[in-house]
Amino acid sequence: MSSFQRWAFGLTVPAALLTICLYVVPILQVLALSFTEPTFGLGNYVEMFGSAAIGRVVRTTMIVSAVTTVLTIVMSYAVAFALVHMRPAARRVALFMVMVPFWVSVLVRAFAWITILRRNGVLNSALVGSGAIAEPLELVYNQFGVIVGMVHYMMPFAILLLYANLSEIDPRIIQAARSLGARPVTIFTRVWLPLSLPGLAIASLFIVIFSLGFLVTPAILGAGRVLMVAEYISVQISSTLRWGVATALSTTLLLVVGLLVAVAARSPALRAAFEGGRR
Amino acid sequence: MAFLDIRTLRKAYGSAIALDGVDLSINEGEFVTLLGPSGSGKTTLLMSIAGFTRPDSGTILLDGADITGVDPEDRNFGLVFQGYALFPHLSVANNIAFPLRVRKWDKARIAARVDEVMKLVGLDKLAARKPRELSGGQQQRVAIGRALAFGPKILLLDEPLSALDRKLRDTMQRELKRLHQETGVTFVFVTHDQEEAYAMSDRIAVFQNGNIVQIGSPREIYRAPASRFVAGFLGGNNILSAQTDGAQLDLFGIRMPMPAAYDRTRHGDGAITVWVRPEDIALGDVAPGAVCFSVKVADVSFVGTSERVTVITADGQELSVLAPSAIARELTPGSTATCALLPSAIGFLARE
Ligand SMILES: Nc1ncnc2c1ncn2[C@@H]1O[C@H](COP(=O)(O)OP(=O)(O)O)[C@@H](O)[C@H]1O
Ligand SMILES: [Mg+2]
Repeated sequence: MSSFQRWAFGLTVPAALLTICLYVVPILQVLALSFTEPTFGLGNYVEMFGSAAIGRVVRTTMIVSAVTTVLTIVMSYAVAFALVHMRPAARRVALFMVMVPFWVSVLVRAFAWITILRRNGVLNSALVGSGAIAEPLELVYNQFGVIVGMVHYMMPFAILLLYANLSEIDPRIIQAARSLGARPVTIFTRVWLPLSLPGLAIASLFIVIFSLGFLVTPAILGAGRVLMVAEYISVQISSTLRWGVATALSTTLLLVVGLLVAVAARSPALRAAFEGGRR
Repeated sequence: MAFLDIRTLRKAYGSAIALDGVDLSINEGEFVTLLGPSGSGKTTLLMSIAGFTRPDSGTILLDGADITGVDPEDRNFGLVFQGYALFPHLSVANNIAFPLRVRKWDKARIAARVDEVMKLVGLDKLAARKPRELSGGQQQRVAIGRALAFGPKILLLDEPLSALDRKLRDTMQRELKRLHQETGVTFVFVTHDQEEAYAMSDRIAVFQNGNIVQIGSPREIYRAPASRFVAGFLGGNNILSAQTDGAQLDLFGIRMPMPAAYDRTRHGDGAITVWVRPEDIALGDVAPGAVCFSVKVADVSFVGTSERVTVITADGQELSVLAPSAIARELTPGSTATCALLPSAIGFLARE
C-alpha cells in the first residue's frame, strides 16, 4: 500500500467503527433476543410460523409489496423513457419535478394523500360534485390507499435508477435498428427492453426490499387496517412488549432480504448492471 | 437520370451551416466517397441520405422518386456507423439476422442468408459470440454484414475505419472494395483520409464548409485540384505565389517559359497562385528541360519510404520536397542545395 492508499483507508476507519458500534452490534443484540426472550430456544420461531395473525400480516406485506413494485416499475419506466427522449431544457425541468418529493417529509406526503383520498377529500368531492359518482369511494385506510402512497414514495428512486440505465444506451444503436427497418414497437421490445434489463432488475430489487420493510406510509394510510410486517414489529415492541416474536420476525425479514440480494446478484442482468457500462 | 439524385440540399444548425446547397448525383453500383476535413458537412449529408437528418430544403430522389420525407426505416439503405453501433445483447448471428427478422423472413431463409453473409464478411466461425467478445475489426465486419444482409439499395458508411490501426485499415479497405464488387451495391463512404478515398472510390466528392467543391475520379482530383483548398487538402501540395505577364512565369525569382497548362482567362495574370507536388521536385539531379534553383535546407525528416525535406527558396517561400534517403542524408539544416523542377509539373489554380 502506498502512503496515499494508507491515508485513504485510514479515513474510512471512524465511519466503520461508528457503524459497527452503533448499528451492527445493536442489531445483533436485538436479533439475539429472538432466541432468548422470554425463554432460551426456538420458541419464538415456532410461534411465528404457527400464528394465523402473522400469516395474514406476511400475506398483506407480500401482496402490497408485489403490487407496489409492479406499478412503480411500469410507471417509472414510462417516465424514464420519456426523460431520455426529451430535449435537454425540458429534461432539466422534468428531472427537477421528479426530485421535488425528496424535499418533502414522508409524513407530510402520507398526510397529503389522506386529504386527497379520504371520504370527503379533494378527489371524492370533485367526483361527487361533477356527478361522476353518487357515493364517495373508499380510497384510503385500505390496501388501495397504502399502495398509492407507497408507489408515490418509490417512484422518484425508480425513475432515477431507470433513467441512469436508459441514458447509457447509445442512441446510435437505436438509429441502427431504424436503419435496419425496425418500427417503434419492434425497437422497443427487441432493443430498448433487453438493454434496460439491468436497470429494471436493480430498480425492482430496490423497490421490493424497500417495500417489505416499509413503516410510515402503510401505518398512516392503512390506519391499522393494512398491517404490514414493519408496523406489526413496531406494535409488538412498543405496545404489546412481545420482544421475542418481534425480533424473530425482524431476523426472518433480514434473512429474506439478504436472500433476495444474493439471488439477484447472481442474475446476469444485475451483474451487468454492477459492471457498469460494459454490457 | 442518376440512381440517387441530391438537389440543393441545405441544412443549418442555428448559425452553423452544415449543408449549403449540395448537389450530387450517384450512379447505381458506384463507390462514391465524401472526403473533407472534420466539420465540413459529410456526416450531415450521409445522415440526410439515410433519413435521420431532415434537410431544411432541397430534395433527394431515388430512381426518380422523391424520398426526402421518407422515414429511415422505410428507405432500405444499409448504414454503418462510426463506432459500429452493434446490438450488445445479441450474438453475431442475431445481429445479422435482425433486419431479416424485422422483415419477417421465414426461419430457413434467415438461417441461409445469415450463413451467406457471415461467409461474405469472413466471420463464419464467430456466429455465437457477443459483440464485446470481438476485436474492433471483427465488430466492423459484423456491422457491415448486418447492413448488407437485407439487400439494401445503398450502403452508407460514416468513417467506419477511423478507429482501426493502420494495418487493419488497409485490410478492411481491400475488403470493402471486394464487397462492393461482389455485391454490386452502391456505396457512399465518408472519410477525412485522402489515401482511403483514393484507394477505394470510383469518384470522390471533396467537401469544404458544407459545399462540394470538386467531384471526380481519384486520378482527376489528384492531377487537377480545382481550388487552393483542394490542392492544399490533398497530398500536402506546395501552394506557391508566382508572377506572370501571360507569356512567361516568374517563380522563386526564376523566369521560365509558360507551361502549356496555363490559361490566361481561367488562371488570370499578375500575381497568381500555383501548386507543386512534393514528389515532383528533385533535389540534386537535373532532368533535361528542368529549371534549377538554389534553396536553403530548413529541416529533414524521415517519413518511411523517403525523406521529407523542407527548404526555403530565394524569395523566402517554404517548399516541401520528397527525396530518396540516399540524397537527403547528405543534407543538414542550414546548408544550401539545388532543386530542379519540370515546368510541366506546375499546376495552376482558377482565379477565386
Ligand atoms: N446535431 C447538431 N447540432 C448542432 N450542430 C451540428 C449538429 N450536427 C452537425 N453540426 C454542425 O454542422 C457542421 C457539419 O457537421 P458534420 O456533418 O458532422 O461534419 P463532418 O461529418 O464533415 O465532420 C459542423 O459545423 C457541426 O458542428
Ligand atoms: Mg462526421
